[in-house]
Amino acid sequence: MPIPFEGLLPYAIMAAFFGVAGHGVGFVRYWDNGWKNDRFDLDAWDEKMMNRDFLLTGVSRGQSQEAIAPEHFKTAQKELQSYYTPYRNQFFKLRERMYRGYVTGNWDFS
Amino acid sequence: MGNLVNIAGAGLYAGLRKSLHQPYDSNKINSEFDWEKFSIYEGNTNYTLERHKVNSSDPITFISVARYISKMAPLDNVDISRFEWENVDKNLLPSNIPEVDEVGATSAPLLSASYFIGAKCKPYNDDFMMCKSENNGGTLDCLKEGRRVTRCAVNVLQDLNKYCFDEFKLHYECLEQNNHRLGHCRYSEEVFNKCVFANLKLEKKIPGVAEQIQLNKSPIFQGGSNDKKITEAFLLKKEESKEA
Repeated sequence: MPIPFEGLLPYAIMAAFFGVAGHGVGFVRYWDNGWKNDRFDLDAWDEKMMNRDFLLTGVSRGQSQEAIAPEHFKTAQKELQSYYTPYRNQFFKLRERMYRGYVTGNWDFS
Repeated sequence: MGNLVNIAGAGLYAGLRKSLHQPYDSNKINSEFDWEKFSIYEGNTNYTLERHKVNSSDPITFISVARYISKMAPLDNVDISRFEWENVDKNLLPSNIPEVDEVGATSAPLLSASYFIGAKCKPYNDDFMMCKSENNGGTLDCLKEGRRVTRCAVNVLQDLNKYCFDEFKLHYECLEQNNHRLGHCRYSEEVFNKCVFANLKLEKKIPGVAEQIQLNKSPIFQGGSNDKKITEAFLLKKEESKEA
């Protein structure tokens, strides 16, 4: 006794939406990388070179084959500054703001 | 003149604020507000305000003296309202260290050109590494050798851009699409290597291996890239442009 196709319609719809979600996220990532595939398995060297690429081109994932860097690159630098918190990037509660104010001197009581 | 008016206003405001915070008490004011001195930092310039209370019975009457002190040297461009600035280091290199142009190529073109830079600049690179090993790292002692290395790499990149611009671009764009894996871009690499050998007489040679993998026509794993298709289209276009 074959299953009537009406019984499988919900599964078709679910599968279609999984596909739309996955390909949609993939498309957005591809677009956000400047129409390039993601980088992965990055080590410290890759990260360092990607930071250097950003300083040279001004855009994320930008590439340039110029032989000589522009003048401002000689003194350009990008430094990531951070402070220790056991709950980093988890929430932005008053406790963390007080910790931030205690550490950096910039009190934020908003 | 505008600055002076501003400063006088700021001084009045500060005096008013202070008097609001502390209710009027003639003894206290006489003891604390007789003479006051504080600084205002405005428009790249540091001003010092001195306030004297002339009539001790009237707390509102002040004489504001604005005095230009000096440009603040280390904070020359600091402005409280700025939201963008050029990231320029004001502490330049000492004059006994000559300028050198930095390498402007980014990661993918550098990886693509790396074997040719190695082939051309081997003596300079070896010299630099020897200097480093002899001088315990040689951060300050090997600047001269380092400048030679930089200049040589810039020269190679200039030559590549001059003679093999399109092939260079073809290869490093393939690398950029394939997570900088050389094994996924052999077709474009072959085109690029041929162009470089024809024009610059530089040959890619991987040091210290039994087999030069880029010469293998049928490697076991070639990756899933569309490098072959793109390279064929590139060659076709190039032939067409030659005929035309």
